[in-house]
Amino acid sequence: MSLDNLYQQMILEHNKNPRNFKEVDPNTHYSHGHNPLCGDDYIVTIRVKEGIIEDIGFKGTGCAISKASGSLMTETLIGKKIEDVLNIKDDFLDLVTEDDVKKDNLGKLIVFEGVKKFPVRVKCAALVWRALEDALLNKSDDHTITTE
Amino acid sequence: MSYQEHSIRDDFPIFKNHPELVYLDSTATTQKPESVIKTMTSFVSDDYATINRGIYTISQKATEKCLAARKAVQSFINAKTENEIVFVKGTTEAINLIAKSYLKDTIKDSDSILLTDMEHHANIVPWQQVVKAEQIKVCGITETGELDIDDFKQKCNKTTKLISITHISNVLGTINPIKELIEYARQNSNAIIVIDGAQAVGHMSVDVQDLDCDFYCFSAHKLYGPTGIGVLYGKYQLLEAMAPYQTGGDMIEYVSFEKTTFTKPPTKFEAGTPAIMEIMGLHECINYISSIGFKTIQTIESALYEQLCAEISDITELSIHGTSKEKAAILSFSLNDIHPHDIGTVMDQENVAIRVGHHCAQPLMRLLNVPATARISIGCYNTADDISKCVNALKKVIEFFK
Repeated sequence: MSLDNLYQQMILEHNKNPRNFKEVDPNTHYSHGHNPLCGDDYIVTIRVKEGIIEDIGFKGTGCAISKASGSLMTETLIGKKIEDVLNIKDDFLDLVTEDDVKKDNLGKLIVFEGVKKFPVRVKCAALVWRALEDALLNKSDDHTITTE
Repeated sequence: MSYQEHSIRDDFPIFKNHPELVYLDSTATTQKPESVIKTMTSFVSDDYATINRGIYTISQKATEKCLAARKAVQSFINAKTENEIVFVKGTTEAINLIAKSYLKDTIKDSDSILLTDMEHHANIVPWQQVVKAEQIKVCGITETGELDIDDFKQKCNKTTKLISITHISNVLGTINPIKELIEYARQNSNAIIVIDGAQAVGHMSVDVQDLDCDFYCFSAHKLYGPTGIGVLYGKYQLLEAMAPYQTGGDMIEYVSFEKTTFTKPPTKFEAGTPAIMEIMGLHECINYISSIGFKTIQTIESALYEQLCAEISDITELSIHGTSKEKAAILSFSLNDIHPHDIGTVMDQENVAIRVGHHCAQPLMRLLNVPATARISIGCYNTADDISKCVNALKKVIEFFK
Protein backbone atom coordinates (compact mmCIF):
# COMPACT_ATOMS: atom_id res chain seq x y z
CA MET A 1 0.00 0.00 0.00
CA SER A 2 2.33 2.72 -1.13
CA LEU A 3 1.54 6.37 -1.70
CA ASP A 4 2.57 6.17 -5.34
CA ASN A 5 -0.25 3.68 -5.80
CA LEU A 6 -2.76 6.28 -4.69
CA TYR A 7 -1.18 9.38 -6.11
CA GLN A 8 -0.03 8.22 -9.51
CA GLN A 9 1.90 10.80 -11.56
CA MET A 10 -1.07 11.32 -13.83
CA ILE A 11 -3.29 12.12 -10.83
CA LEU A 12 -0.77 14.61 -9.46
CA GLU A 13 -0.48 16.25 -12.88
CA HIS A 14 -4.26 16.54 -13.36
CA ASN A 15 -4.57 17.95 -9.84
CA LYS A 16 -2.12 20.69 -10.76
CA ASN A 17 -3.61 21.39 -14.17
CA PRO A 18 -7.23 20.26 -14.11
CA ARG A 19 -8.87 19.99 -17.56
CA ASN A 20 -12.39 21.31 -18.18
CA PHE A 21 -12.29 23.15 -14.86
CA LYS A 22 -15.22 25.35 -15.81
CA GLU A 23 -18.97 25.75 -15.81
CA VAL A 24 -20.54 24.82 -19.13
CA ASP A 25 -22.95 27.57 -20.17
CA PRO A 26 -25.51 27.02 -21.54
CA ASN A 27 -25.90 23.55 -20.09
CA THR A 28 -28.65 20.95 -20.20
CA HIS A 29 -27.74 19.05 -17.03
CA TYR A 30 -26.03 19.94 -13.79
CA SER A 31 -25.55 18.71 -10.22
CA HIS A 32 -23.83 19.90 -7.10
CA GLY A 33 -21.73 17.27 -5.32
CA HIS A 34 -20.70 17.87 -1.74
CA ASN A 35 -18.94 15.89 0.93
CA PRO A 36 -19.95 17.41 4.27
CA LEU A 37 -17.22 15.53 6.14
CA CYS A 38 -14.20 16.85 4.26
CA GLY A 39 -15.70 19.84 2.47
CA ASP A 40 -15.05 18.65 -1.12
CA ASP A 41 -17.51 20.61 -3.23
CA TYR A 42 -18.00 20.57 -7.02
CA ILE A 43 -20.56 21.58 -9.60
CA VAL A 44 -20.71 19.34 -12.66
CA THR A 45 -22.29 20.95 -15.74
CA ILE A 46 -23.04 19.16 -19.00
CA ARG A 47 -24.43 20.06 -22.41
CA VAL A 48 -26.00 17.09 -24.13
CA LYS A 49 -26.88 17.29 -27.83
CA GLU A 50 -28.57 14.45 -29.67
CA GLY A 51 -27.67 11.94 -26.98
CA ILE A 52 -24.00 12.90 -26.96
CA ILE A 53 -22.02 14.88 -24.40
CA GLU A 54 -21.04 17.95 -26.37
CA ASP A 55 -19.35 19.65 -23.43
CA ILE A 56 -18.80 18.90 -19.75
CA GLY A 57 -17.06 20.80 -16.99
CA PHE A 58 -16.52 20.66 -13.25
CA LYS A 59 -15.69 23.45 -10.86
CA GLY A 60 -15.17 23.77 -7.12
CA THR A 61 -12.74 22.82 -4.38
CA GLY A 62 -11.39 19.58 -3.02
CA CYS A 63 -8.41 17.32 -2.58
CA ALA A 64 -6.02 16.07 -5.25
CA ILE A 65 -7.94 12.83 -5.74
CA SER A 66 -11.31 14.52 -6.22
CA LYS A 67 -9.91 17.18 -8.55
CA ALA A 68 -7.96 14.73 -10.70
CA SER A 69 -11.07 12.55 -10.82
CA GLY A 70 -13.10 15.48 -12.18
CA SER A 71 -10.40 16.33 -14.69
CA LEU A 72 -9.99 12.80 -16.06
CA MET A 73 -13.74 12.18 -15.96
CA THR A 74 -14.54 15.20 -18.11
CA GLU A 75 -11.65 14.52 -20.48
CA THR A 76 -12.82 10.94 -20.97
CA LEU A 77 -16.50 11.68 -21.44
CA ILE A 78 -16.54 14.54 -23.96
CA GLY A 79 -18.03 13.32 -27.24
CA LYS A 80 -19.38 10.07 -25.78
CA LYS A 81 -22.94 8.75 -26.01
CA ILE A 82 -24.97 8.94 -22.79
CA GLU A 83 -25.42 5.17 -22.63
CA ASP A 84 -21.65 4.68 -22.90
CA VAL A 85 -21.09 7.39 -20.30
CA LEU A 86 -23.34 5.60 -17.83
CA ASN A 87 -21.49 2.32 -18.41
CA ILE A 88 -18.13 4.00 -17.86
CA LYS A 89 -19.52 5.59 -14.69
CA ASP A 90 -20.56 2.17 -13.35
CA ASP A 91 -17.22 0.63 -14.27
CA PHE A 92 -15.35 3.48 -12.60
CA LEU A 93 -17.31 3.19 -9.36
CA ASP A 94 -16.63 -0.58 -9.41
CA LEU A 95 -12.94 0.08 -10.03
CA VAL A 96 -12.52 2.12 -6.85
CA THR A 97 -14.54 -0.21 -4.64
CA GLU A 98 -14.26 -3.80 -5.91
CA ASP A 99 -11.71 -6.40 -6.99
CA ASP A 100 -11.61 -8.09 -10.40
CA VAL A 101 -13.55 -5.52 -12.35
CA LYS A 102 -13.98 -4.79 -16.05
CA LYS A 103 -11.35 -2.28 -17.14
CA ASP A 104 -11.67 -2.27 -20.95
CA ASN A 105 -13.89 0.82 -21.01
CA LEU A 106 -11.85 2.88 -18.60
CA GLY A 107 -8.73 3.93 -20.50
CA LYS A 108 -6.68 6.39 -18.48
CA LEU A 109 -9.14 6.17 -15.60
CA ILE A 110 -7.46 3.00 -14.36
CA VAL A 111 -4.93 5.25 -12.58
CA PHE A 112 -7.56 5.43 -9.84
CA GLU A 113 -7.33 1.70 -9.12
CA GLY A 114 -5.07 2.37 -6.11
CA VAL A 115 -7.78 4.38 -4.38
CA LYS A 116 -9.49 1.12 -3.41
CA LYS A 117 -6.65 0.45 -0.95
CA PHE A 118 -7.40 3.72 0.85
CA PRO A 119 -11.03 3.29 1.92
CA VAL A 120 -11.35 6.77 3.42
CA ARG A 121 -10.43 8.27 0.06
CA VAL A 122 -12.90 6.34 -2.11
CA LYS A 123 -15.54 9.02 -1.66
CA CYS A 124 -13.06 11.63 -2.93
CA ALA A 125 -12.68 9.79 -6.25
CA ALA A 126 -16.39 9.03 -6.50
CA LEU A 127 -17.80 12.50 -5.74
CA VAL A 128 -17.79 14.03 -9.25
CA TRP A 129 -19.06 10.74 -10.71
CA ARG A 130 -21.97 10.70 -8.28
CA ALA A 131 -22.73 14.27 -9.33
CA LEU A 132 -22.55 13.22 -12.99
CA GLU A 133 -24.97 10.38 -12.29
CA ASP A 134 -27.32 12.77 -10.52
CA ALA A 135 -27.14 15.30 -13.35
CA LEU A 136 -27.90 12.77 -16.09
CA LEU A 137 -30.45 10.64 -14.27
CA ASN A 138 -32.10 13.32 -12.12
CA LYS A 139 -31.62 11.21 -9.03
CA SER A 140 -32.08 14.06 -6.55
CA ASP A 141 -34.94 16.52 -6.34
CA ASP A 142 -32.70 19.55 -6.01
CA HIS A 143 -29.64 18.65 -8.13
CA THR A 144 -27.56 18.13 -5.01
CA ILE A 145 -25.87 14.99 -3.81
CA THR A 146 -23.66 14.29 -0.86
CA THR A 147 -21.18 11.50 -0.25
CA GLU A 148 -19.75 10.48 3.09
CA MET B 1 8.57 11.37 42.06
CA SER B 2 8.54 13.79 39.19
CA TYR B 3 7.34 12.50 35.86
CA GLN B 4 9.65 12.59 32.88
CA GLU B 5 8.10 12.67 29.45
CA HIS B 6 9.38 9.20 28.53
CA SER B 7 7.87 7.58 31.55
CA ILE B 8 4.53 9.18 30.68
CA ARG B 9 4.62 7.66 27.19
CA ASP B 10 5.36 4.30 28.82
CA ASP B 11 2.11 4.55 30.78
CA PHE B 12 0.12 4.21 27.54
CA PRO B 13 -0.19 0.67 26.14
CA ILE B 14 -1.06 1.94 22.65
CA PHE B 15 2.54 3.09 22.22
CA LYS B 16 3.87 -0.32 23.27
CA ASN B 17 1.57 -1.96 20.73
CA HIS B 18 2.40 0.62 18.06
CA PRO B 19 5.91 1.90 18.81
CA GLU B 20 5.99 3.63 15.43
CA LEU B 21 2.84 5.68 16.09
CA VAL B 22 3.21 9.44 16.32
CA TYR B 23 -0.15 10.42 17.76
CA LEU B 24 -0.87 14.13 17.38
CA ASP B 25 -4.66 14.19 17.52
CA SER B 26 -5.27 14.53 21.25
CA THR B 27 -7.72 17.34 20.64
CA ALA B 28 -10.05 14.82 18.98
CA THR B 29 -9.52 12.22 21.67
CA THR B 30 -6.70 11.18 23.97
CA GLN B 31 -5.11 7.78 24.36
CA LYS B 32 -5.71 5.93 27.64
CA PRO B 33 -3.10 5.11 30.30
CA GLU B 34 -2.84 1.57 31.57
CA SER B 35 -4.21 2.58 34.97
CA VAL B 36 -7.49 3.75 33.41
CA ILE B 37 -7.83 0.59 31.32
CA LYS B 38 -7.01 -1.62 34.32
CA THR B 39 -9.36 0.23 36.64
CA MET B 40 -12.25 -0.36 34.28
CA THR B 41 -11.47 -3.97 33.48
CA SER B 42 -10.82 -4.93 37.09
CA PHE B 43 -14.01 -3.19 38.19
CA VAL B 44 -15.95 -5.25 35.69
CA SER B 45 -14.09 -8.45 36.62
CA ASP B 46 -14.14 -8.01 40.37
CA ASP B 47 -16.78 -5.55 41.54
CA TYR B 48 -19.41 -5.02 38.86
CA ALA B 49 -23.01 -4.47 39.96
CA THR B 50 -25.70 -1.86 39.50
CA ILE B 51 -25.70 1.21 41.71
CA ASN B 52 -28.23 2.87 44.03
CA ARG B 53 -30.75 0.00 44.20
CA GLY B 54 -28.95 -3.13 45.23
CA ILE B 55 -29.34 -4.31 48.79
CA TYR B 56 -26.46 -6.74 48.32
CA THR B 57 -22.84 -6.02 49.15
CA ILE B 58 -21.24 -5.59 45.74
CA SER B 59 -23.98 -3.20 44.64
CA GLN B 60 -23.39 -1.12 47.76
CA LYS B 61 -19.69 -1.13 46.98
CA ALA B 62 -20.29 -0.02 43.38
CA THR B 63 -22.59 2.74 44.67
CA GLU B 64 -19.86 3.95 47.01
CA LYS B 65 -17.32 3.93 44.20
CA CYS B 66 -19.61 6.07 42.02
CA LEU B 67 -20.03 8.53 44.85
CA ALA B 68 -16.25 8.62 45.31
CA ALA B 69 -15.90 9.36 41.58
CA ARG B 70 -18.39 12.21 41.85
CA LYS B 71 -16.42 13.63 44.77
CA ALA B 72 -13.19 13.30 42.81
CA VAL B 73 -14.71 15.34 39.96
CA GLN B 74 -15.97 17.88 42.49
CA SER B 75 -12.50 18.37 43.86
CA PHE B 76 -10.89 18.27 40.38
CA ILE B 77 -12.83 21.37 39.27
CA ASN B 78 -13.42 22.74 42.78
CA ALA B 79 -17.21 22.63 42.77
CA LYS B 80 -18.94 23.49 46.05
CA THR B 81 -20.57 20.11 46.49
CA GLU B 82 -20.64 16.79 44.69
CA ASN B 83 -24.33 17.42 44.00
CA GLU B 84 -23.29 19.97 41.40
CA ILE B 85 -21.66 17.21 39.33
CA VAL B 86 -24.02 15.58 36.82
CA PHE B 87 -22.74 12.57 34.90
CA VAL B 88 -23.58 12.78 31.20
CA LYS B 89 -22.30 11.12 28.03
CA GLY B 90 -19.96 13.99 27.26
CA THR B 91 -19.70 17.68 26.46
CA THR B 92 -22.25 17.44 23.65
CA GLU B 93 -24.90 15.93 25.90
CA ALA B 94 -24.11 18.44 28.64
CA ILE B 95 -24.78 21.37 26.30
CA ASN B 96 -27.92 19.73 24.95
CA LEU B 97 -29.10 19.26 28.51
CA ILE B 98 -28.67 22.95 29.34
CA ALA B 99 -30.39 23.96 26.10
CA LYS B 100 -33.39 21.69 26.66
CA SER B 101 -33.75 21.82 30.44
CA TYR B 102 -32.71 25.38 31.15
CA LEU B 103 -32.85 27.66 28.13
CA LYS B 104 -35.95 26.29 26.40
CA ASP B 105 -38.11 26.94 29.46
CA THR B 106 -36.77 30.35 30.34
CA ILE B 107 -35.98 32.23 27.13
CA LYS B 108 -38.35 35.00 26.03
CA ASP B 109 -38.71 36.47 22.55
CA SER B 110 -36.97 39.67 23.64
CA ASP B 111 -33.92 37.74 24.93
CA SER B 112 -30.78 36.91 23.03
CA ILE B 113 -27.93 34.49 23.56
CA LEU B 114 -24.26 35.14 22.86
CA LEU B 115 -21.91 32.64 21.22
CA THR B 116 -18.56 33.20 19.48
CA ASP B 117 -17.13 32.64 16.03
CA MET B 118 -14.74 30.01 17.36
CA GLU B 119 -17.36 27.56 18.67
CA HIS B 120 -17.58 24.00 17.38
CA HIS B 121 -20.90 22.58 16.26
CA ALA B 122 -21.68 21.13 19.71
CA ASN B 123 -21.79 24.67 21.07
CA ILE B 124 -23.90 26.05 18.21
CA VAL B 125 -26.45 23.50 17.08
CA PRO B 126 -28.06 22.62 20.46
CA TRP B 127 -28.86 26.31 21.03
CA GLN B 128 -30.31 26.65 17.53
CA GLN B 129 -32.83 23.98 18.44
CA VAL B 130 -34.37 26.07 21.21
CA VAL B 131 -33.99 29.72 20.13
CA LYS B 132 -34.78 31.62 16.94
CA ALA B 133 -31.91 32.41 14.58
CA GLU B 134 -32.28 36.15 15.16
CA GLN B 135 -31.83 35.64 18.90
CA ILE B 136 -28.31 34.30 18.44
CA LYS B 137 -25.57 36.93 18.66
CA VAL B 138 -22.05 35.95 17.75
CA CYS B 139 -18.90 37.53 19.15
CA GLY B 140 -16.25 37.96 16.44
CA ILE B 141 -12.57 37.09 16.54
CA THR B 142 -9.45 39.08 15.69
CA GLU B 143 -6.88 38.24 13.03
CA THR B 144 -4.75 36.39 15.55
CA GLY B 145 -7.71 34.24 16.56
CA GLU B 146 -8.52 35.91 19.87
CA LEU B 147 -12.02 36.87 20.90
CA ASP B 148 -12.80 40.45 19.92
CA ILE B 149 -13.36 41.79 23.42
CA ASP B 150 -14.92 45.07 22.22
CA ASP B 151 -17.42 43.08 20.19
CA PHE B 152 -18.13 40.91 23.22
CA LYS B 153 -18.79 43.98 25.37
CA GLN B 154 -21.06 45.45 22.74
CA LYS B 155 -23.12 42.28 22.42
CA CYS B 156 -23.27 41.40 26.12
CA ASN B 157 -26.07 43.43 27.68
CA LYS B 158 -29.31 43.29 29.64
CA THR B 159 -31.07 41.34 26.90
CA THR B 160 -28.45 38.58 26.98
CA LYS B 161 -30.04 35.51 28.52
CA LEU B 162 -27.16 33.10 28.13
CA ILE B 163 -23.53 33.20 27.05
CA SER B 164 -21.77 30.05 25.92
CA ILE B 165 -18.04 30.14 25.16
CA THR B 166 -15.35 27.59 24.65
CA HIS B 167 -12.53 27.69 27.20
CA ILE B 168 -9.98 26.66 24.55
CA SER B 169 -10.66 26.69 20.80
CA ASN B 170 -10.26 23.24 19.27
CA VAL B 171 -9.11 24.79 15.99
CA LEU B 172 -7.21 27.96 16.88
CA GLY B 173 -5.83 26.80 20.23
CA THR B 174 -6.81 30.14 21.75
CA ILE B 175 -7.19 30.09 25.54
CA ASN B 176 -10.03 32.52 26.15
CA PRO B 177 -9.88 34.98 29.07
CA ILE B 178 -12.93 33.34 30.62
CA LYS B 179 -12.61 34.89 34.05
CA GLU B 180 -12.45 38.46 32.72
CA LEU B 181 -15.36 37.81 30.34
CA ILE B 182 -17.47 36.42 33.17
CA GLU B 183 -16.63 39.39 35.41
CA TYR B 184 -17.77 41.74 32.65
CA ALA B 185 -20.92 39.73 32.00
CA ARG B 186 -21.83 39.71 35.71
CA GLN B 187 -21.62 43.49 35.85
CA ASN B 188 -23.40 44.21 32.60
CA SER B 189 -25.96 41.46 32.13
CA ASN B 190 -27.98 38.87 33.97
CA ALA B 191 -26.77 36.16 31.62
CA ILE B 192 -26.27 32.56 32.60
CA ILE B 193 -22.75 31.58 31.60
CA VAL B 194 -21.84 28.23 30.07
CA ILE B 195 -18.23 27.24 29.50
CA ASP B 196 -17.36 24.46 27.07
CA GLY B 197 -14.32 22.99 28.77
CA ALA B 198 -13.81 20.04 26.43
CA GLN B 199 -10.34 21.16 25.36
CA ALA B 200 -9.29 22.72 28.65
CA VAL B 201 -9.64 20.17 31.43
CA GLY B 202 -6.81 17.92 30.21
CA HIS B 203 -4.33 20.74 29.95
CA MET B 204 -4.93 23.25 32.71
CA SER B 205 -6.42 23.32 36.18
CA VAL B 206 -10.00 24.54 36.27
CA ASP B 207 -11.66 26.11 39.31
CA VAL B 208 -15.36 26.67 38.64
CA GLN B 209 -15.86 28.74 41.78
CA ASP B 210 -12.99 31.03 40.91
CA LEU B 211 -14.26 31.39 37.32
CA ASP B 212 -17.80 31.92 38.65
CA CYS B 213 -19.38 30.25 35.61
CA ASP B 214 -22.89 28.83 35.95
CA PHE B 215 -22.23 25.68 33.94
CA TYR B 216 -19.02 23.94 32.88
CA CYS B 217 -18.99 20.96 30.52
CA PHE B 218 -16.35 18.38 29.62
CA SER B 219 -15.79 14.83 28.38
CA ALA B 220 -13.57 12.20 29.97
CA HIS B 221 -12.22 10.94 26.66
CA LYS B 222 -10.24 14.13 26.09
CA LEU B 223 -8.87 13.76 29.61
CA TYR B 224 -7.12 10.40 29.09
CA GLY B 225 -10.32 8.70 30.22
CA PRO B 226 -13.02 6.61 28.51
CA THR B 227 -15.62 7.65 25.94
CA GLY B 228 -19.28 7.70 26.92
CA ILE B 229 -18.85 9.64 30.14
CA GLY B 230 -18.57 13.34 30.80
CA VAL B 231 -19.55 15.97 33.28
CA LEU B 232 -22.02 18.79 33.50
CA TYR B 233 -21.15 21.07 36.37
CA GLY B 234 -23.97 23.43 37.32
CA LYS B 235 -24.56 25.74 40.24
CA TYR B 236 -26.90 23.85 42.53
CA GLN B 237 -29.75 26.40 42.61
CA LEU B 238 -29.85 26.39 38.81
CA LEU B 239 -29.86 22.61 38.60
CA GLU B 240 -32.57 22.50 41.22
CA ALA B 241 -34.83 24.86 39.27
CA MET B 242 -34.38 23.02 35.98
CA ALA B 243 -36.70 20.42 34.50
CA PRO B 244 -35.40 16.87 34.06
CA TYR B 245 -33.65 16.22 30.75
CA GLN B 246 -34.64 12.60 30.33
CA THR B 247 -36.97 10.63 32.54
CA GLY B 248 -37.02 7.05 33.69
CA GLY B 249 -35.52 5.01 36.47
CA ASP B 250 -33.03 6.27 39.06
CA MET B 251 -34.30 9.86 38.90
CA ILE B 252 -37.68 9.48 40.58
CA GLU B 253 -38.88 9.60 44.18
CA TYR B 254 -42.39 8.30 43.77
CA VAL B 255 -44.18 7.06 40.69
CA SER B 256 -47.86 6.40 40.11
CA PHE B 257 -49.76 6.52 36.82
CA GLU B 258 -51.19 9.88 37.91
CA LYS B 259 -48.06 11.63 39.02
CA THR B 260 -44.31 11.28 39.43
CA THR B 261 -42.00 13.26 41.68
CA PHE B 262 -38.34 13.58 40.83
CA THR B 263 -35.19 13.28 42.90
CA LYS B 264 -32.91 16.21 43.53
CA PRO B 265 -29.83 17.05 41.45
CA PRO B 266 -27.63 15.46 40.32
CA THR B 267 -29.65 12.23 40.03
CA LYS B 268 -32.63 14.19 38.66
CA PHE B 269 -30.61 14.41 35.43
CA GLU B 270 -29.33 10.86 35.40
CA ALA B 271 -32.24 8.73 34.23
CA GLY B 272 -31.48 5.07 33.73
CA THR B 273 -28.53 2.96 34.80
CA PRO B 274 -25.44 5.12 34.28
CA ALA B 275 -22.18 4.22 32.53
CA ILE B 276 -20.80 2.67 35.71
CA MET B 277 -17.60 1.23 34.25
CA GLU B 278 -16.85 4.54 32.52
CA ILE B 279 -17.44 6.44 35.77
CA MET B 280 -14.68 4.31 37.30
CA GLY B 281 -12.47 5.22 34.33
CA LEU B 282 -13.26 8.91 34.78
CA HIS B 283 -12.26 8.71 38.43
CA GLU B 284 -8.99 7.02 37.55
CA CYS B 285 -8.07 9.46 34.77
CA ILE B 286 -8.47 12.28 37.28
CA ASN B 287 -6.18 10.39 39.66
CA TYR B 288 -3.73 9.85 36.83
CA ILE B 289 -3.64 13.50 35.76
CA SER B 290 -3.36 14.63 39.35
CA SER B 291 -0.41 12.28 39.94
CA ILE B 292 1.46 13.99 37.09
CA GLY B 293 0.19 17.46 37.89
CA PHE B 294 -0.77 20.27 35.52
CA LYS B 295 2.53 22.01 36.11
CA THR B 296 4.40 19.07 34.57
CA ILE B 297 1.80 18.62 31.82
CA GLN B 298 2.06 22.26 30.83
CA THR B 299 5.85 22.22 30.91
CA ILE B 300 5.92 19.22 28.57
CA GLU B 301 3.24 20.48 26.22
CA SER B 302 4.56 24.01 25.90
CA ALA B 303 8.14 22.82 25.36
CA LEU B 304 6.93 20.54 22.54
CA TYR B 305 4.79 23.30 21.06
CA GLU B 306 7.78 25.65 21.04
CA GLN B 307 9.90 22.96 19.42
CA LEU B 308 7.19 22.47 16.77
CA CYS B 309 6.98 26.20 16.04
CA ALA B 310 10.77 26.44 15.79
CA GLU B 311 11.06 23.44 13.47
CA ILE B 312 8.33 24.61 11.10
CA SER B 313 9.55 28.21 11.01
CA ASP B 314 11.54 27.61 7.82
CA ILE B 315 8.64 25.94 5.99
CA THR B 316 7.53 28.91 3.91
CA GLU B 317 4.57 27.01 2.44
CA LEU B 318 2.97 26.71 5.89
CA SER B 319 0.52 29.24 7.26
CA ILE B 320 -0.78 29.00 10.81
CA HIS B 321 -4.42 29.65 11.74
CA GLY B 322 -4.53 31.10 15.24
CA THR B 323 -1.60 32.90 16.82
CA SER B 324 -3.12 34.25 20.01
CA LYS B 325 -0.88 35.14 22.93
CA GLU B 326 -2.52 32.66 25.29
CA LYS B 327 -2.45 29.45 23.33
CA ALA B 328 -2.77 25.73 23.97
CA ALA B 329 -0.53 23.19 22.19
CA ILE B 330 -2.78 23.07 19.13
CA LEU B 331 -1.59 24.07 15.67
CA SER B 332 -4.00 24.44 12.75
CA PHE B 333 -2.36 25.13 9.44
CA SER B 334 -2.57 25.16 5.67
CA LEU B 335 0.24 24.15 3.29
CA ASN B 336 -0.20 26.41 0.26
CA ASP B 337 -2.97 24.87 -1.84
CA ILE B 338 -2.37 21.27 -0.79
CA HIS B 339 -5.72 19.98 0.42
CA PRO B 340 -5.72 18.90 4.10
CA HIS B 341 -6.94 15.42 3.16
CA ASP B 342 -3.91 14.91 0.96
CA ILE B 343 -1.70 16.16 3.81
CA GLY B 344 -3.38 13.71 6.19
CA THR B 345 -2.99 10.71 3.88
CA VAL B 346 0.72 11.34 3.21
CA MET B 347 1.43 11.91 6.92
CA ASP B 348 -0.44 8.73 7.79
CA GLN B 349 1.96 6.83 5.54
CA GLU B 350 4.72 8.21 7.80
CA ASN B 351 2.75 6.94 10.85
CA VAL B 352 1.90 10.47 11.91
CA ALA B 353 -1.74 10.80 12.99
CA ILE B 354 -3.08 14.33 12.64
CA ARG B 355 -6.60 15.62 12.13
CA VAL B 356 -7.72 17.08 8.82
CA GLY B 357 -11.10 18.52 7.99
CA HIS B 358 -13.39 21.20 9.30
CA HIS B 359 -13.02 20.08 12.95
CA CYS B 360 -16.77 20.34 13.47
CA ALA B 361 -16.42 24.10 13.14
CA GLN B 362 -17.78 25.01 9.71
CA PRO B 363 -18.61 28.65 10.55
CA LEU B 364 -15.01 29.19 11.66
CA MET B 365 -13.70 27.55 8.45
CA ARG B 366 -15.79 30.02 6.43
CA LEU B 367 -14.34 32.87 8.47
CA LEU B 368 -10.78 31.63 7.87
CA ASN B 369 -11.75 31.24 4.19
CA VAL B 370 -10.53 27.64 3.97
CA PRO B 371 -12.57 24.50 3.28
CA ALA B 372 -10.65 22.64 5.94
CA THR B 373 -7.38 22.74 7.85
CA ALA B 374 -4.80 20.28 9.09
CA ARG B 375 -4.30 20.23 12.84
CA ILE B 376 -1.51 19.01 15.08
CA SER B 377 -2.44 18.71 18.76
CA ILE B 378 -0.16 17.67 21.57
CA GLY B 379 -0.84 15.55 24.64
CA CYS B 380 1.28 14.89 27.71
CA TYR B 381 2.56 11.58 26.23
CA ASN B 382 4.14 13.20 23.19
CA THR B 383 7.90 13.50 22.90
CA ALA B 384 10.51 15.64 21.14
CA ASP B 385 10.99 12.71 18.78
CA ASP B 386 7.29 12.81 17.83
CA ILE B 387 7.60 16.47 16.89
CA SER B 388 10.69 15.90 14.74
CA LYS B 389 9.03 12.99 12.94
CA CYS B 390 5.94 15.10 12.37
CA VAL B 391 7.94 17.98 10.88
CA ASN B 392 9.87 15.55 8.64
CA ALA B 393 6.55 14.14 7.45
CA LEU B 394 5.30 17.65 6.70
CA LYS B 395 8.37 18.26 4.57
CA LYS B 396 7.66 15.03 2.70
CA VAL B 397 4.13 16.25 1.98
CA ILE B 398 5.50 19.40 0.40
CA GLU B 399 8.07 17.45 -1.60
CA PHE B 400 5.42 15.00 -2.78
CA PHE B 401 3.03 17.62 -4.11
CA LYS B 402 5.71 19.90 -5.56
